[in-house]
Amino acid sequence: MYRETEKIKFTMLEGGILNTECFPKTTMTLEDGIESTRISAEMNEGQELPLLCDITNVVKMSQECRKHFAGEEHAKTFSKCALIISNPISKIIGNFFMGLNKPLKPTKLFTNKSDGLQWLQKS
Amino acid sequence: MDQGRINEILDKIAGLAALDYDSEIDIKDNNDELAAIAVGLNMLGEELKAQVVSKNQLTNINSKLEKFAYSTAHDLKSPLNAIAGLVSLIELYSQPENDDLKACIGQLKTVVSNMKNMVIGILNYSRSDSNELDFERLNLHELIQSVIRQDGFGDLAQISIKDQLPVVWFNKISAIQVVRNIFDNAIKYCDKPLCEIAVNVYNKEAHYEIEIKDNGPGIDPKDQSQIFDLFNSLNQPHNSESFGIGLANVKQILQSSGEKIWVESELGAGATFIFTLKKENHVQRN
Repeated sequence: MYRETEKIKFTMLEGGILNTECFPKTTMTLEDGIESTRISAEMNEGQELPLLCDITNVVKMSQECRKHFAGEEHAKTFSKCALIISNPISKIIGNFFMGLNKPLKPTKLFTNKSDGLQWLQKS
Repeated sequence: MDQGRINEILDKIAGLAALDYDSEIDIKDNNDELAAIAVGLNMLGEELKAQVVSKNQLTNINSKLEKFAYSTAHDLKSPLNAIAGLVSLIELYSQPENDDLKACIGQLKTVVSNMKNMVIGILNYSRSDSNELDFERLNLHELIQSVIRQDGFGDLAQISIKDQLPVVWFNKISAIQVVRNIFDNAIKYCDKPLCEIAVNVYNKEAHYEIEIKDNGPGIDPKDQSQIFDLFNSLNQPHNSESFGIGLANVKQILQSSGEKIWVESELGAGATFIFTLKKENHVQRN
């Protein structure tokens, strides 16, 4: 199953892991965050599935958007989240998100997808 | 080429230091360490702005609540005075022979008096956060002796004042309120046949610590963090007239002037209230 918006690609991987990845040089606003949550919920069909979220291509994420991704509405769409950060900007955004916004569900930062996937596949 | 980007980062830091949270560094096409620092500073600016906005909103809400409490208490004062007067007139004109009726009128007077005290307490609490207080040299020894004399505390408790108390720098009316409330509580809550109060002072670097110790029932350590909260009165047998305003008022008076108050106590071992007051010399020198 695959969907995409102007900024984000959504892919349902084998084993029921939702993979989201942004297009290059993406700026994420609150509206983008809300849309992402809506599409994730639709693809998950109401279940809380593991989320592989690659923010490598994100160059900016607004304060409201980070707050939304750390909030209750978004937390309903995933069981745990592996955030992929593989360049300096995504690293600082990821670390900011973890340190200041404190997501409600288990969330970890990874510098490559395979480590993130491995962690998500652990029960 | 990087010098230009470093200058932008330095400008952003200078902007943050000057509380300018709106300016943003343009990230362009780079995705390197300098770009990451710039993104981090941009996000920090956003977070600071959000915190400032939240704090301002909270300050506005608090201010509205305080005004509401003050105006409500103020509006209740007149009808309560009228009720108190009418109850006294009923008592005077009816001269009831029925003991039950007498008791009811007595209770009614007590309830009205308690309500008046509560309203006055709320009004005092609303006024105690004022930044417009006049400060002056206060001879603490004379001030405490005067409170003991005027309020008749000497007839209700054995009060000992150790050593000569110092001259401090504080608002006189506020200092009287602080001492009066602490003495009043010590007497009101005392569970011994003779209430004993000891006043002591400790000389610290920039201030004095004033200690008022009583021989009352003491305060459980788990309750000590709440006793300075508004409308918090602990359930003790002697506190039927307590509204939980007095100590909240004392704390607000002291805190709004940059002073501190805390309690040290164990159940059954009395309570010691300690508060700070600035030294007269220290304030004048600064």
